[in-house]
Amino acid sequence: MPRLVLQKKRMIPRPRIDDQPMTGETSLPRKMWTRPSRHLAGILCYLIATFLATGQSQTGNKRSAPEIERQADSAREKGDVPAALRLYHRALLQDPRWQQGWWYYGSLLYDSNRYPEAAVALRRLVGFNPKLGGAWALLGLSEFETQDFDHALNHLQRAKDVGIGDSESLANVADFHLAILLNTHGEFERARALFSSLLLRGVNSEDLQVGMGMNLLRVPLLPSQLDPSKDALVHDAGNIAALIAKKQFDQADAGFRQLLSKYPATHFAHYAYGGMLASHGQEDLAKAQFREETNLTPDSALPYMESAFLESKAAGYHDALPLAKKAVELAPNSFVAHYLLGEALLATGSIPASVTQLEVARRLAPDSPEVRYSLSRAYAKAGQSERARNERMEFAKLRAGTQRKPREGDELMRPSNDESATPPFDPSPTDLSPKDPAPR
Amino acid sequence: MIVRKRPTSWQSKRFAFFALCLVATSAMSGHLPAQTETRTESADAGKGTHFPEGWNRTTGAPQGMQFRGSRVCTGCHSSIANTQHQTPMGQASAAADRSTILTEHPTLTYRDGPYELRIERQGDKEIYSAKDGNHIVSVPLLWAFGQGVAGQTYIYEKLGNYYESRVSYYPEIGGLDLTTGHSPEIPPTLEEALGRPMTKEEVTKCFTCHTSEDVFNGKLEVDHLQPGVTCENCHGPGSQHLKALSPENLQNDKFHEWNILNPARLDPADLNDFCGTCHRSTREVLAAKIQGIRNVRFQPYRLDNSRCYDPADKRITCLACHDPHVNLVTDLQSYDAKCLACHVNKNEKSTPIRSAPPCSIATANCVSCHMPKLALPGAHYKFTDHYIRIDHANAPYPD
Repeated sequence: MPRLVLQKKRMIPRPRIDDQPMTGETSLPRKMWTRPSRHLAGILCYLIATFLATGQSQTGNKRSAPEIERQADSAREKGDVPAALRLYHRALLQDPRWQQGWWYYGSLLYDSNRYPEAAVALRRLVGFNPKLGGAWALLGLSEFETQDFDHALNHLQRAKDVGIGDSESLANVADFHLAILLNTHGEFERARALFSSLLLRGVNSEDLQVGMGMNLLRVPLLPSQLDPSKDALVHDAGNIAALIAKKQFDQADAGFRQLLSKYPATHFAHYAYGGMLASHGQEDLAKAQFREETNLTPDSALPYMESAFLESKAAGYHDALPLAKKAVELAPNSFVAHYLLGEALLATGSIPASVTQLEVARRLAPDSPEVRYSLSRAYAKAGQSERARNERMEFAKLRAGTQRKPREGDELMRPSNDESATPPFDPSPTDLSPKDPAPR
Repeated sequence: MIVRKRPTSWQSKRFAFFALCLVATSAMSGHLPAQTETRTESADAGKGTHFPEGWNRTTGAPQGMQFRGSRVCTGCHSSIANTQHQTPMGQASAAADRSTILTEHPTLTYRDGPYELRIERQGDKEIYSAKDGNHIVSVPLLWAFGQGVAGQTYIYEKLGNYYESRVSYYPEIGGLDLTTGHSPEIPPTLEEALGRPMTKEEVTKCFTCHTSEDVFNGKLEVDHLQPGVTCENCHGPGSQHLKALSPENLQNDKFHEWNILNPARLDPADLNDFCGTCHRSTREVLAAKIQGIRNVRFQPYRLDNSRCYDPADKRITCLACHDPHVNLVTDLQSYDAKCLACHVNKNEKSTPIRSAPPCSIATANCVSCHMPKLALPGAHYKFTDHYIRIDHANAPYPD
């Protein structure tokens, strides 16, 4: 997939740090983006240690702390990290199942920048107790520092699934790192949700701005790998992404215009702009942006899918058909592309071909209610009533069941205006969006 | 041989706005499409679904095709044309100065923080104003959308743009309150206190459902507008239909040569989508991710979620229960026959056609339990939830 061509200049995995915060907002200490502060680690140590101690007590495994453990705790409390590390190490040799000890040992190693050893210790700890979200987070961050990015991604995701608890600072750091790793894996929508959530939680830093800029331009690199000559572009893009996240769409619109006049050939800038326009009902303008994007990135399916979606939404299925076909050609493994093509074929009367495409979409995304629904309609049209009923039942089950994890491409199912935008937080029953239809 | 042309336009048209206009119905009126006890997948589905060439509800009349107006339709279809005009759909909009609600309420006011909003009759115009301590802005209202069964919202124009009023009239409270969807936050300016601008797409979508005979080649031409939903809003522009009528066609039932759409002859699921162009189809609701109680207004979507819904079965479509040409039937018991077209009652034996299980609780008034009325916060109205289900007490709203 074509993308912003950026040369790999720096291989240090840690995000670049800069003193400039985003305008008008309080930024976190720079260090927060790379790892939790010593103070944070202290608080976390206390919380997790208390939890571990409670857990051991509750399970009847209350143990009298040997002298060496008391010495280790004492050294840690005094801030004598080398002594504490040495003593915890000895204590753990004597009792390798001492969870509290593994936590202190791992977090002190992490705080001492001894990431490979921290990862080993924390891996032991989560092996004993996989419900420790904070330990998963610190493990993922340690692995990030050792450039073990695949494990870091998995373990930061695990931390998010388990829940990090009350430590907002650790959660922020973990979310940021998870987001930039998702960026590198091309999971831009999930990353965007995390970045936006961080911003809306009041977090602000230049690292976040850079991450959001790379996300907007769909650059699947770590910030540290960014070609420095692209810094200004990415910063501008980050500002626009922040404005979108804060729903300041007029300013974002102006930002896009400015960015495109300065960098007219930037890949995926037109795509991002079109996406914003489409989500605000400016569909003709959005289509023009997507057309521009197809000229710049002719081998990307994304602008074709967006255009096909907009055409279909306006009942222009005949116009959607070639666009969806092109999308399938470029992205044969995209369920969205097959779904859009299946829909267009269904609406233009090519029922068997529609069934074929929608069946492929179902194979690629068996938990998509949209696909199941359309397939039920296609089967009904094809006279396959039993299959139609089965698919409809699956649709109903999926609607009634648990929410599936978001998938890259889901954004194409988005609405044409802000009504549809799922708010970052659960809306109250009266939290009706501005574009809800009026009562009649 | 019948030439079946597939309709397309209605399949995903969005944001048609009379969600609160309940489809008029009469279970016993005789206007309902013929109900049979057979599944219809291979029967006459599609017969007569011939859309006027090039027409769809989104883009309106194509070049060379004209709307003829309801009066012409009444010449042959007088009974349904006359009753349809009186329904909430037929009265889905009115010029503001002809709004019955505004006529009956010469002055309506609403306090919105520092602002007083007022709709007042001045001469032959309805003037909508917002004032704070020192300033006032006012505009003449152009259109009243919604008959007022659930509510009525107003449209005005400023500098060439259409705006939706920030307040609507709600019969339940007998006055104004915030229009559904408008933020309760106090607007920063008097202009914004009046209402919000509508995008071009919203204008087209709103007018296409609330007014008729005004969309040509995809462009809204307000000068041609007819208030409310007229015959040709659902059946398509009638010019070719009039030309096509011949004694031979009439005698031979050559529906396909009539050049007019009879939505009742659409395939079952397509029919629900057709109604969903204004009342919102499942595709639209899914695409827009309209979640929670907000989607209770969207009947075709809610019906699609029902366990008993079958996209190939004509016994569960909008028209199976509702006749848009007459007023909504409010006698709940009259809908029992619709349920019993598929379900057996206690002590009845199931048949291949009626094989759905009996209700263990009751034998009548099915919808009173299985289609609960739910209040939409802020809308001052209880909607019949068309998600047919066993509604357990305290169960969360099923999305």
